[in-house]
Amino acid sequence: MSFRLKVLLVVLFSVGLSIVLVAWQISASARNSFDRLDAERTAALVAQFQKEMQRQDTEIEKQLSQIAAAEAVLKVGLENSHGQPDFSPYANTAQELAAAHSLDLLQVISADGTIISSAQWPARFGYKDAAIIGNPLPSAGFLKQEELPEGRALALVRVHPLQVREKPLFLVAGQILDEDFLRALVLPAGTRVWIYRPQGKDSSSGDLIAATALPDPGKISAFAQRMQLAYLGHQSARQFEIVHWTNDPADDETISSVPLTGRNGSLEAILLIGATHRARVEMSRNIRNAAFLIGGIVMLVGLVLAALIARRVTRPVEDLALAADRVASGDWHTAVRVEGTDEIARLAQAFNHMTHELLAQRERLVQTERVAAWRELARRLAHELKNPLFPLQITVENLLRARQHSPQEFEEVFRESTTTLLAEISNLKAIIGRFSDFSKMPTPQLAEVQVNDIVKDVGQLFAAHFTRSEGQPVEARYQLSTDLPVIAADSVLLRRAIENLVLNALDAMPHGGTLTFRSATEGDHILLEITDSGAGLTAEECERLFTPYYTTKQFGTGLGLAIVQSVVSDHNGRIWVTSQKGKGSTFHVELPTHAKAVAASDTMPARTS
Amino acid sequence: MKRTAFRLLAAASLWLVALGAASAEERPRYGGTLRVQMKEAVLSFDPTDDKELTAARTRLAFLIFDRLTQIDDQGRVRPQLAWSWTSDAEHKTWRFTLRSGVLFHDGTQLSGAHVVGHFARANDPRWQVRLGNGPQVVVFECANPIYDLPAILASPRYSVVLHAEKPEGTGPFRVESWQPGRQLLLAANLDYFEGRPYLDAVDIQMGNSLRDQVIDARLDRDELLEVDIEQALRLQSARQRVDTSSPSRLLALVFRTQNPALRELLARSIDRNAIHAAILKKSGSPAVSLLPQWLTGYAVLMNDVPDPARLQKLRSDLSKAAPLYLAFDPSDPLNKAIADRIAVNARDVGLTVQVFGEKNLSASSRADALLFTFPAPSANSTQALIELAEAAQVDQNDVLSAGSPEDLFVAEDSLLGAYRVAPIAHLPVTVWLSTRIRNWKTLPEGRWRLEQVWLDSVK
Repeated sequence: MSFRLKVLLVVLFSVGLSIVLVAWQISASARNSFDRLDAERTAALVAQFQKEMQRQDTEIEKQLSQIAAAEAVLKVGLENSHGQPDFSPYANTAQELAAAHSLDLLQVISADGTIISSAQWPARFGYKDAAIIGNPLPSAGFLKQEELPEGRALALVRVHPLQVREKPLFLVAGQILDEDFLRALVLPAGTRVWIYRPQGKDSSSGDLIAATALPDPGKISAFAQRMQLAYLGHQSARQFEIVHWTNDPADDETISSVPLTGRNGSLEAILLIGATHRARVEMSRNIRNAAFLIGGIVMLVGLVLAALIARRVTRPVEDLALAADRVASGDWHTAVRVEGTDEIARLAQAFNHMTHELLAQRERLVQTERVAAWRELARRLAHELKNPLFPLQITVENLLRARQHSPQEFEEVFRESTTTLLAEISNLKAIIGRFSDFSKMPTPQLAEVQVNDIVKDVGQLFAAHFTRSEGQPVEARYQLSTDLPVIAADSVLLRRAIENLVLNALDAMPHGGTLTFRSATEGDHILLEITDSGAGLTAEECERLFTPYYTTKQFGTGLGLAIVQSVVSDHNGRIWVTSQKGKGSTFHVELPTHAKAVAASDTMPARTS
Repeated sequence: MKRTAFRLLAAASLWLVALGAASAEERPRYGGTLRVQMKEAVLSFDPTDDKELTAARTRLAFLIFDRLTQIDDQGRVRPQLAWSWTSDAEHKTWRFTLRSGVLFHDGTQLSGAHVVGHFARANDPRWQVRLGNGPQVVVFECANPIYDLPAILASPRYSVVLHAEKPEGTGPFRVESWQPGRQLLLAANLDYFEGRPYLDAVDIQMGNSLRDQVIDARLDRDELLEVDIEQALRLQSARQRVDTSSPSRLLALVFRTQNPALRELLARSIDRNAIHAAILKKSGSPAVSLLPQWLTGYAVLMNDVPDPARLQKLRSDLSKAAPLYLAFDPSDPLNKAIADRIAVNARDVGLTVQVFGEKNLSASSRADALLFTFPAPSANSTQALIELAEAAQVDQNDVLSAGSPEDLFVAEDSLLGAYRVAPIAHLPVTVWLSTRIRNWKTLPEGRWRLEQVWLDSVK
């Protein structure tokens, strides 16, 4: 990943993160606002519920006052004042009065709690309901679970005592808090309300009074039941719960609970207030969408700005990197432009200074090496030429001596001397030829080559040498990979290199031994190893082994391994030796398998190892 | 003195005028159509078909058909189509001699063969009917002794019907037109063997609610309609003409549940006095017997003493009884009030009773008990008890073999002891009458005798 891309990404990430943080902060603020709004709406609804209850209570009281003055009640009161009252004619009185005064509940009860007439349950006449008129009589309406023929119902009830001829009589009236009551409530937008009515004091079940149909009332009831247990002290629970109606979060609803108590503080019902999440979810979605839109625009602008900034910031660094690449590839004349005085400019100055110093040092090194090479060449030439020259000198001196001292033997000496002279001259020509060959290494002509085949051919060529009559034989072993790929190489040069390695190995094993050929594939290279079991080399010898004209042999020219290294380098390969004194040496030749690599390398200087 | 004589003369003249007017009022008048409203929508006026013989159908049967015998106002058995009858000593063979010259409405003369064919079609297992010595003699061969077969045969259930193109009777009125469930127009049977009715026709409208009927009556559209207890009280308080029979209809629970303990517990839990006093407004009488006291004289002997120990035992035996479903006829609001009260009473003994309205009570499939009002059966106690037993579908063999009031008491007590039927109250039959109706006489069992009624000409 480029530096510019990194800078670009850092800028974009910073911008994106900033947008996310801002959006999150806005969402959190909106959420808090909605929570406060929900709490306010819940409080307003509870207040309205209580106000409606108060209004109902006032209306009940008003109706009760009118009923108390009705003639029918007066008749009941008069009957009540008798010693043995007969209330049977008045069994329907409460029904008629309740209908006339729009009351859901109305009971006329005597002082001993006997129900004289009941509007809500006419069949209960004659039964006792003394608890409702027990002391102290409540001064206001209260919630009560009223028993009806079809079950219990939650009602707001008020007791109205009256006296007829000094005999007490009680009117108990009320309104049922049912779906119609809930529908009458003016709800704040986005809120709903239910009433949960427990079935019994200790029962964990109950009925849900809902103004509108619910898809799954069990969810509300389950929460209400937990609240019921909590209010009864059986367990602790939160006062609200979020109900998920569907998979859409907008349909979620926060349900808050408010206990509704009765005459003696008993839990008569639970007011459940639902506040929809739709507004807040839609707000969140709007914030998110706005964040995406703004973020997208800002990211786009940021991308352009970041690209410009990155370009300005990274261009000197990129120039430096490119210059470094050029230096690495051999172009030591590379220099970068220095702009400004900042750290990057100082770095550019240092880079230019470094390349300048490198060039100077290389020039000095080349000159030094050139002088050393000439000296070595002169030394080798002197050494190589001196050996044949000495016999030539002796032979010529013998000829002169024979001509002067024994002319009769001159002919014989002459023939012998000319033979010697021709041999030594031939030797000189061979020496000069080898030097000439080294100086004239040809450019490799690449073709598809199977290295194993060349190894086997060379082995075949030297088979006679392996089983030589003098000394101990050399055992040739082949550990060649069967799936060695074909490579692009010059088979002639490669054969010559391998021959030189084999000759070198044979020279290292004058007393016989084992010569092992090993080939293998390693990644995109093939590896050829030729191991002898000779005397081995020292570490210093290993380092200098491929230096031209360096030899460890008495009659070597020091050019054999230099030629091998030249061939391997020309194939963009590398060669190295590993050895352990007394245990033999191994020459490792690594050649690329891809023709391209080789072809490409044709234009590049050969590497040495 | 002269002045005094003049005054006496004037007073005498006024008395004579008044007497003359009164005589004219009591004098029978032929003609006119009596318009009647009946609450029940009758779908068949044939009393011998398989349908339930309701109060309305009973009334129609008395108008259109005759029986071999009839029950008079005193509950005595009197001849009707049968002129006379005899039985053997074992009360197993009964011979009825038919009147001569009785015509069906289509003109067919009644014969013993008609009667035999009629009863053969009914195929009652209690008897075989054959012709006796002569075409007008019909013999009933009973499988078991039946001590009062003539009383039984006075039931409208045993009306003699000629099944021609339509059911033909021999009664005082013949069917002029018939729209099932809506209207029945009857015309006077001019050939009736007891003499033609005073009325030319009776137009019976059916299926209207009691409220609509009362409105129609107030608008002078009708002359006769049946009313319920509350309406009767209102009409009476409004000084309308209302006629009430003896408490003859039986309001009772008819059990379908096969659990005898459950039946007994519910029957014992009912506060009959409260129902009678508060719901029925003291109309009729609380009932612990099937037949009313005025009919049998022994109803007061029936046991209605509360037995707390028995109640407690039944409660413990039925501690986990399933809810009991009680059906009532919703056409009368009192029925719901009574059913609700029964449910409340049942709560006291630990029973859960769920009440529900059912238009066709007999066909109710989910009811464990029915709040049923049996039509006023008869002024004859034997016939009445058999009618009730048949209507309640309980065993009536003991009743059939009852030869004395004591036997009847035992038979009824036995019926009650099975708790198949739990009496609640005996109710009167109440009708509202137009002031035009003359010679109206309420029979104890609430039967209408329209053949003896005439209409005042003044409307």
